[in-house]
Amino acid sequence: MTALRDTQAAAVPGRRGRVRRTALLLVVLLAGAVAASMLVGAGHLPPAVVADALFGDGPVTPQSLVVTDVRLPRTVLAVLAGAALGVAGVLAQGMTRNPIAEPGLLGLNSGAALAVVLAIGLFGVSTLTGYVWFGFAGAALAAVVVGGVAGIGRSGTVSPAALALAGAAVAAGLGSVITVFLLTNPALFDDYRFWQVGSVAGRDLSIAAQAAPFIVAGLVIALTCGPRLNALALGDDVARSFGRRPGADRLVCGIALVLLAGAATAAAGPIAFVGLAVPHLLRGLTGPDHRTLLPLALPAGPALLLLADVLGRVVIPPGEVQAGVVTAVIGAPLFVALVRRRRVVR
Amino acid sequence: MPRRLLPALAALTAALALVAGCGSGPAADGTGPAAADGAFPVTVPTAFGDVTIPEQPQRVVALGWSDAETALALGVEPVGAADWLAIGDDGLGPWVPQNYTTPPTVLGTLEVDLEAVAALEPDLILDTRAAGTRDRYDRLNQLGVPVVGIPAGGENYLTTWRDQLRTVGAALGRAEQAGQLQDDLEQRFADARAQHPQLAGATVVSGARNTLGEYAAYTAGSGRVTFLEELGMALAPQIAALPTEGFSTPISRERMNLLDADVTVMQPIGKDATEIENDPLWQAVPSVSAGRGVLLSDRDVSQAFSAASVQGWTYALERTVPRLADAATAAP
Repeated sequence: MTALRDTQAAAVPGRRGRVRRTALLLVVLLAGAVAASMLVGAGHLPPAVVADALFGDGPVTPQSLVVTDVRLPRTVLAVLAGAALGVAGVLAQGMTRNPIAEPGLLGLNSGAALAVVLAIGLFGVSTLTGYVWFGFAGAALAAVVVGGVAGIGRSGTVSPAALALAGAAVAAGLGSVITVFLLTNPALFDDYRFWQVGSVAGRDLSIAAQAAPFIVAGLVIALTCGPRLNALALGDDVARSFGRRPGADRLVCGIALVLLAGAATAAAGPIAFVGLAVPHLLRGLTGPDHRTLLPLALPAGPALLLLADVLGRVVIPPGEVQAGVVTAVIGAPLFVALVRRRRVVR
Repeated sequence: MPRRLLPALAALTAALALVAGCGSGPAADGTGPAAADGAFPVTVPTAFGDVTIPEQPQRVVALGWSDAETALALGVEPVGAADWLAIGDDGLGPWVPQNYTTPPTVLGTLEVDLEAVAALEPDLILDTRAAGTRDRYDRLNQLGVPVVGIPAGGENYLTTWRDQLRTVGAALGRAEQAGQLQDDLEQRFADARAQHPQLAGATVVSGARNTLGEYAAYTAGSGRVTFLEELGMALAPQIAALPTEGFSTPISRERMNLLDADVTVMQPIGKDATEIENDPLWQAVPSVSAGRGVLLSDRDVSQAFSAASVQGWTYALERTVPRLADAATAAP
C-alpha cells in the first residue's frame, strides 16, 4: 500500500523542492567524491601533478603513472559499479517489496561467484578480464533460476516473498557448491579469496570497458522502471486493476537488475551494502516514489562507493583496504542504526 | 681471493651454527646425549611448552608449511600432509628429490579439519610453521597426540628454516640427520656468498603480487627475506622500518617506490607473472627500470623460494643466485 501513500506524498507541497535539493546535494557530493578519488591516495601527489598527468603532455613519470594507471581506472570503475549497485538496489527492493532486499538476496552474487570459481577451477582462467564474462553469465543464470523457482512466467503472478525465498534458497544452494569446490582445491581458494573481496583497485580500464555497455544498458532500462515498480508496489492484483501487466513489468526490471548487478559484481567482486544502503538512505530523504529513487541512486551509489574506496586508501599506509571491506565495516553498523531509528522505512 | 675466503667462511658458518645450536639447548640439536638418533622419549621445546614424544612415531601428520617435505628429507613419510603451496597430488614440489611410497592424505592448510586428522590415527602431529595461534594449537591438542607446534618466535609463519629443521628432526628422532642437512645448506649459502661477493650488503626488497594486482613486501624474519640475507644481502631500510606483525606488509600501488632497492625480487601469487611484467607501475620502480628487478616467473622456482625448506632453497639457490648477482653488480 506504499504507492497509495506515494501519490499522496507527491501532492504534498514542497516535496518537489526537496527532491530537487536532494538531487543537487547528491551531484555535488559525487563531484566531490570524484575529486577526492583523484586527489587523495596512499601516495601523496600535489594537485598540480594530478592535473598535469591528466591534462598535460609531460613525460611519463612514476607519479603520473599513479594518476593514469591507479587513480583514474579505479575512479571510473567505482563510478560505474557504484551507479549499477545503487540502482540495482532500488530495483531489487522495489521488485520484492522488501526494504532490505539487495541483489545478493536474489542469488545474483552467488551465481557470479560460482561462475568465477568454475572459471578458475575448470577452465584455468586466472585474470580479471577473464572472470568478468563468467561472473556476468553466472549472475544472469542465477536470476533465471530464481525467477523460475519463484514461478515467474508460469502464472504471471509472483509474490515478493516467493521471489525473496527463491533467491535465498538458490543463493544457499550455490554457496554450498562453491564451498565444495573450494574445500577440495586450495589453489582455487586462493584466487577466489582475492576476487571475493570486492575492490575497485588494481583493475585496469579494460575491465571497466568490458562492464560499461551492460551497465549503461541496464541503467537505461532501469530508468523506465519507476512507474513499473510503483505499480508492483501495489501488489499484482491492484496493479492489474489499474491496467498494468505485473509479469511484464517484473521481467523488464529483472533484466535491468541482472545487467547492473551482474556486470558490477563481475567487474568489482561482490561489494556489500551499497545496493542495500542507497535506496534506504534515499527513501529517508525523499520518500518511496521509485520515479525519484532510481535517478537519485545514479549519483548516490558512486558517491558512496568512491568515498569508501578513498577511505580505504588512507587507513593503513603503506597498504590499502579494499572498498568492499570498507563498505561492509562502516556499512553494517550504519545500516543497523538506520533500521532501528526508522524501524523499517515505509 | 674468493677461493681462499671460502674455507674461512665455511669455518665461520660452522662455528656460528654451533653457537646457535648450543644456545637453543643441547637436547634439540643432536649434540646432547638425550637426542642420539632413534632414542626415545625425546622432549621438544615449542612456543606452547615442551612436548614429549614417548616413542618413535609411526604415523606422522604434517600440517605446517613445509613440514611434510622436511620430514621426508629426514626419511619419514607422513600419512597426512597439508599442501600449502597448492602443488596438488601428493603436495611435493619438483624440488623434492624423494618420493612417497604411499602418498599421504592431503589436508587443508589454514583451517584444520580435526576429524580428518583424527581419522589418520596419528601418533605425532607436526605444525611447526603456521599462523601459530594458541587456538589452533589447543584444537589439535584435543586429539590426545603429541603436537609439535611452532617454536618460540614462529608465529605468523615466521618459523625459520633452521628452527623448523631442528624441531622436526628432534621430534622424529633424526636430530643428527637434521644437523647434517643444515650444514649442507649453510655450505651452499656460503659458497654462493664466496662466489658472488657483490651480494654482500646489497639492499633488497622481496615482494609479491596477488591476482587482484595488490603488491606486498616481505618483512624481516620472513622466509624469503631470510634467504636473501643468507646470501649476504640486506633488507632495504624503508621496508625494515615499516611497522608489521606478520610476514608481509601490503604496499599500495601508489607507493611502488617503496620497492626500490639495489635488487628488487618479485613473485606472483597465483599463476601468472606476465601481469607483473606488463604492469607499467612495476616497470617504473627505479630499480626495475634500471634492470635490477628479479621477477620469479618460473612457478617452480618461485615456490621453491617460498618453501623456506632445505630442499626448496637448494633448488632456488641454483636458479636465482646468478640473477641476483647480476642485479647486484649493476647496482650503483
